[in-house]
Amino acid sequence: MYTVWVRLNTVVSFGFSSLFGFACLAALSKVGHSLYRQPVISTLELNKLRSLKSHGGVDRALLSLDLNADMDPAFHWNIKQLFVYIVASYETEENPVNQVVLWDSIVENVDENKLLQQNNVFVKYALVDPGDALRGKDITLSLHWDHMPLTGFMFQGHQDLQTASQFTLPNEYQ
Amino acid sequence: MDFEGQKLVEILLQVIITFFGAVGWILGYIKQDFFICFYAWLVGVVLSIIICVPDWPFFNRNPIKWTDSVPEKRKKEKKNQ
Repeated sequence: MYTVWVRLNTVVSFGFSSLFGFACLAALSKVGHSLYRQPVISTLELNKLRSLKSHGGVDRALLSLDLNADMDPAFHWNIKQLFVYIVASYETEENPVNQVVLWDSIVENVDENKLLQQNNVFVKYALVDPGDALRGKDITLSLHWDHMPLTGFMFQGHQDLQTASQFTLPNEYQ
Repeated sequence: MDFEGQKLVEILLQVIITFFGAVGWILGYIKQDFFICFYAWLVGVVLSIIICVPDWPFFNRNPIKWTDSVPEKRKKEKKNQ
C-alpha cells in the first residue's frame, strides 16, 4: 500500500470481489421464487387456421393465435429478461412427441408492461412437420419461457399442461 | 505513506465499500431492483478511491523513525566526544 498504484489496485479489486459477492447473494435470495409466483396465462388458443398444405414435400399449417399472458409474477431483481415462446405439440405414428415453436417474444425487466397481449396474431414460424403427418392431428398449444438471470444459470418454466388448449387439424389439405 | 496510514487505508477501503454495498443490497432487495445495489456499490468504490488512494496528510501522522545514516552517526558521535 506504499504507492498510489498499489492502493488503486487494491480498491478496484476489492470492489469487484465484493460486487461479485453481492450479486451471488442476490441470486441466492431468490432461489425458490418460481415455486410460489407463476405467470398468469389467461388465454392461449387458436384464432383461425388459414391453411394446411403440402409445401416442398412437407406438411405446413399457417394459423393465427390469441394470447393473453401476464409475465410479471416471474420477474424479480435477479431476472434480466424472459424469452417467451409458444409451442405446438402433437403425436404421430413415427414420434410420440413433436414440438414446434410458432411464436416468440422477449420481455425485459425494464419493460413497464409485462403483459403479453396478442389478438389474432399470425404465427412467426409456420407449423411444419418433417413429413406429411399433420392432417387430422390434435395440436396442443402451450406457453414456455426461459428465465435469463443477472447472476446464475438460465432455467425454464412452462404453462401447466392441464390448462393448455387444443385444436384438431382437418383431415384434408385446405 | 507511513505504516499506520497504510493499515488505516486497508481498513477504510474495506469498510466503505462493504457498507455502501450492503446498504444498497438491502434497499435493492426491498425494491427488487439490483441496480440500486450496483449504484450504491459504485458510490462506495468512488468514495474509497477519493479517500484511500491519494497520499493525504492524515495518512502521514506517524512518520517512520529511520536511524541516522552512517556519516551522520559518526558526526554525532564526534560531537558528543
